[in-house]
Amino acid sequence: MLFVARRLGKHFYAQQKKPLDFYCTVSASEKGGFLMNDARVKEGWVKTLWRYYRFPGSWAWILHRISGLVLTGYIILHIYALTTLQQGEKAFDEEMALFLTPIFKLLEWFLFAFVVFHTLNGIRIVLIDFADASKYQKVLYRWVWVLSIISFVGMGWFIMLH
Amino acid sequence: MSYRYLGSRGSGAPSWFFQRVTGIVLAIVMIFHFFLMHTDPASGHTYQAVLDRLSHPFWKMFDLAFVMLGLYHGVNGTIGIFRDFEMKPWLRMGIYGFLVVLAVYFGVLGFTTILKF
Repeated sequence: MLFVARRLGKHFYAQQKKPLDFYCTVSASEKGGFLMNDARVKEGWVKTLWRYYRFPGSWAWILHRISGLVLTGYIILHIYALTTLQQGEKAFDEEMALFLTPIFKLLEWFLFAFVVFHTLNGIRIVLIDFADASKYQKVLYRWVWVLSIISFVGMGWFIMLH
Repeated sequence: MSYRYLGSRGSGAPSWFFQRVTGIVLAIVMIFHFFLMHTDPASGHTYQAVLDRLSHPFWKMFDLAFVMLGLYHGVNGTIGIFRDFEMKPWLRMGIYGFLVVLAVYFGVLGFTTILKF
């Protein structure tokens, strides 16, 4: 693995074009790092949000993390729900009838929102990591949202039809 | 010289790499799974239909791969979230151990369900 990683590493490493100072939004006196702030001076949460979350990339990161956790919980529930198959035809058919009721279809639609965002943002991450697309990251993020909303609405229409 | 101490052990490179790889494969497999299950509501929602599908070795392997890859990607991602926090070694190992056991347990559940047919 190490052999492969060392040989491939130089192809995957994205070139940094801007100096690191460009990304740091705090004043020079604070540049030691977040932990070097005095314990007495606690930054308000609004200021923290403004400091980190005015960049679209931060939102992409936190939303990807949240949707990933939700999806992990879902896959565990899904595997558990399908073990009903082992209990015979009647139990399984009853469970499936439950999952075809409107309330579950609605929940499934909301789940699809998380799925589609995580998938599209994941593709954006793979493009950034492997295809050297870091200079396009903001454009890609806009496309992620556009395609997510289109797919979500399309899915709602599709679910209503069936 | 000091070559004994150089190297990338503990860098998390394999888990970084496999998250991406399993992510791409999962995206493709999920699209197939989704269109199979939902374009025709009967085709995954009745016992008989599932039985018919799982008697075919290709779909069996497909579902097994889905279970393994999905659990790997999800649990590895959750471990990555915990990796960002500082905690005592016993707590860290406890949480990672719990997540790995969770993955193995649900993997075994998935395998026994699929392989039963």
